[in-house]
Amino acid sequence: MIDSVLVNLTVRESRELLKNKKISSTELTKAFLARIKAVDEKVKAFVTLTPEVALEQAKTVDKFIQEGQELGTFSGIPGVIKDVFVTSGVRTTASSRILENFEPPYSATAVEKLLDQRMVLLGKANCDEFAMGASTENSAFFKTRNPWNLDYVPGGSSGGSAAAVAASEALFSIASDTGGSVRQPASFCGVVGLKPTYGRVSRYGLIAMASSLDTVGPITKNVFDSALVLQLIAGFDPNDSTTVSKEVPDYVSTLTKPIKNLKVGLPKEYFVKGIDPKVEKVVSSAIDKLAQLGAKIIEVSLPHTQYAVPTYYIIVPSEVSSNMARYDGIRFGQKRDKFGDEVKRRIMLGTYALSSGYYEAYYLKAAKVRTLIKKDFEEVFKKVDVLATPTTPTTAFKLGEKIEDPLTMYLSDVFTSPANLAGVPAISVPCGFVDHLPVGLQIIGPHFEEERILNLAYQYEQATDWSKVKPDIK
Amino acid sequence: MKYDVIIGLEVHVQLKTRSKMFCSCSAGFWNEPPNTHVCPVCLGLPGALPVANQEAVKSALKVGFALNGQTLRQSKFDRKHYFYPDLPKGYQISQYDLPFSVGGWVEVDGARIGITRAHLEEDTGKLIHVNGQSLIDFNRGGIPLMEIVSQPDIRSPEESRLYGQKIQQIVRYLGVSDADMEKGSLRIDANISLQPQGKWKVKKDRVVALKGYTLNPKVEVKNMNSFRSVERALTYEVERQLQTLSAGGKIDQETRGWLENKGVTVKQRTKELAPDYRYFPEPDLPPFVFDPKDLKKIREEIPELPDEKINRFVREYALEAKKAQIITSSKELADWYEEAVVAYAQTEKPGADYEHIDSKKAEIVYNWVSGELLRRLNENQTSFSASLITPAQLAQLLYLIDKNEVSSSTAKEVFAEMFRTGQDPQKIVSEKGLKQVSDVERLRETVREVINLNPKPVADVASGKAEAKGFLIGQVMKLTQGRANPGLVSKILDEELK
Repeated sequence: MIDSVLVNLTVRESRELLKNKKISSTELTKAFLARIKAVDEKVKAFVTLTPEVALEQAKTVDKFIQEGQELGTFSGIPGVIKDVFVTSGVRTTASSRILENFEPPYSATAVEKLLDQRMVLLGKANCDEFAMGASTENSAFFKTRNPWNLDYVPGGSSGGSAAAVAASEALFSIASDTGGSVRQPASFCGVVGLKPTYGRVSRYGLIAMASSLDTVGPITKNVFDSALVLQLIAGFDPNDSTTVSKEVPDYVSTLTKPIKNLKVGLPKEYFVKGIDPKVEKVVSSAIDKLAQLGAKIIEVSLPHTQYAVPTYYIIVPSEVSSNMARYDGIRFGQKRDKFGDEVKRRIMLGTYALSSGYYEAYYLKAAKVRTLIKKDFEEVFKKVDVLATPTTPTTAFKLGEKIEDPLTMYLSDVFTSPANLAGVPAISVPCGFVDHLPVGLQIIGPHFEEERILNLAYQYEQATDWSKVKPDIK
Repeated sequence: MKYDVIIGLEVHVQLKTRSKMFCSCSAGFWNEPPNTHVCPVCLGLPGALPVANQEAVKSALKVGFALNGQTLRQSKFDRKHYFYPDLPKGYQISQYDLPFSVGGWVEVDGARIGITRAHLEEDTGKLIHVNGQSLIDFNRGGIPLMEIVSQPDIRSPEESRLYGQKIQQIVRYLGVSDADMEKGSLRIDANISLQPQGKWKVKKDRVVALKGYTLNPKVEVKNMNSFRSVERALTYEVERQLQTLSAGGKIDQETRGWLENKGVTVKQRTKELAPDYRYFPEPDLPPFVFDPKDLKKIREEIPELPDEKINRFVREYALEAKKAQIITSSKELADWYEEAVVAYAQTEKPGADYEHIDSKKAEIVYNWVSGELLRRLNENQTSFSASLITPAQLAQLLYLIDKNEVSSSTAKEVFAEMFRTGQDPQKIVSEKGLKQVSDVERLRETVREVINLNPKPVADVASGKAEAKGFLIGQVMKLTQGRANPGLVSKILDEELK
């Protein structure tokens, strides 16, 4: 099979072809390595490439296939891991100079599960430094570009992951979402991004940014693949006390459930001025589509939405200031002056917010508002099954457009951060274009109801063709 | 001016758990090569997460109960931030506003010392300075550590030592810690100040000045590596502060280190500003919500503690308080003693329980245990667990004495053999032929022999010299290698000399 066909496959399709010996993992891996060679000069999604590791894994899987061994879902499937997950023996930088030469002795649980099945690790994806940012411009190494228009940002912080999947440089990626870092770049790059419920997927080995908000989720070409990844990585982990020992349902088989009479809430606070009218139009027609599919559309309210971003930007820097304390210049070979501006900004903000005399006014108050935001969602989910909103108020912006203005950049999280504060699951699925740039539809569900949002997203995706449109990289 | 000495102690106790506080590394690190008991979690590597050791939490709750503290319905861990090379995460996981135990007290020599709180945290790594280089051993990093904070209720260096020893005794009774100061598994820091009498009071765990008076600053004293050095260091510090104040000088708020060799405390750093630890709830560890049923179960696992034991021994065995205190100094000793007492009572009354013990028997056992047994354990540097002799064997020996099968002097010899070999007393007595001779006819022969050989003392007895009779008994004992029943000898002698 020719490379251009191979790299445009999905996880599901590649898996079938591997199983039926129509292609080999080595063939598939080589196609992706060639694709990366061809386009990554422009996209710049990879911080580290691991072709030897990848080909070695592919060879082993091919041997297994020849021997007729049972294959795991991700055996021989090439993917990329956001560089905030530790990978044993593979340099892990968090896109920071601080960890420029850090080679971890262990792998993150989510990664370990994939490696156990012998996924093909192509490399590590660029991101904002320690996942702090919304454009990947905060990477200490280089800026990643949006495959749909190289003058635009891919979003962030998981910009490398989303761009790599959108540019067909990898079949899937594992990324992290603290305030929208999976969904916003997925939206900007026209791919599917899922942020699971807090506690559904182990954070062990995810380099912490804001521990009470960090979640681990897939970025994939379509919803089916998203369900496949979640199926593997979800579940209790004895190494992460915040994971829950709740049974993991079958996410794949429930994708095709009819959605007739599903109650979809439209929170009025998410359709206000500030949102790009063209984006709103695209999202509105996506919601019309849901109605056509049989969903009941109901207007609802999440009254504390306006406090989400301010609350988020107290809690996040506070936890950041604590989580960054270990990079004190003693152990990882780099001094603290190697931190980038955004990291330093958050360390200072957080140190201030946690200081004695200010703690009550900032951190404690933010924690209380967070509870109110969580209650908003609990209340609204008594009335509706899911919520539908735009993932972001605008499409991707130009490189350099917001980097000098942190406050504007922070507002990119306005529709995504509430789900993190509440701990609920949310998915962004492509729903159209504005001026040749992708738009994402966000579907938010109640705690541990990933099944429901995947189901609706899948039905929507089946009824539309947005996930199948590919960028022409130039 | 007359001053009150005001001391508050912070006691750190390492808990004796199998694994560390937040990871599965083995907690038995004593004398192990550096950095061999480490993993991503206790090294604070990026991405690693803590998981609370349930055994340590249980131990901490027990300590809280034993100190008469209150368990809160909810508790949690917090992050305490400070930069130090032995702290790999840049913060220590500790407890701030919801510790596992609040309040409580212990009794020290009749005085009640208040406890402010007892919380659980992780120990830090150990810095080793050699040839101008600083090395870090993280084997100790992450060992569960309890911090027990006293109220400023301690009034003397001696009381400080006794308080520390009491805490040691309690945690050892609970079996949750070795609490060995020499090995650093029990560490004591002191806060000490001198205030003019009648010018201060304790309010909400703090020393506050009465109106119109400004407190003398308190000094923190560290680096005291034994109970003896606690008492010495604080005695020195009282004297130093007293002299400074008497000379019209001022005390600086500072941390001072005790130099054991020189017998002085020296300034380590000034402490004018309270450090801001920026505590906040540890997001990686869900809060604890305790089920009263579970707490009750844990409370029921607490053994009888030293104070209760002393009271019971006084009440049930009519043991003097001082003796009860000595025999309960460790749980092993008290248990050994009590087992021997019960076994001894049962030699006569099978099935006798410890509530109906003849106080004379309890006293006899006390004398043997505190005398012979402790002396020999000390001489041989042996611990109770390694000792060969069992309480039941001591009881058998005492029974042999009661039955006149061995004399008291021979019994000591038998005991020595039991201690050395762990053999039963009957066996030793029969194998070595140590059985007391109570055969009247055999003894009469020996008595007659002694009378024939000693005409002068015999004459002395006749003329009323009592000492002479003692001499004759001694001669009989000598000829029987001490195995003759002295009472019987005396009786026969009386008959023969009549």
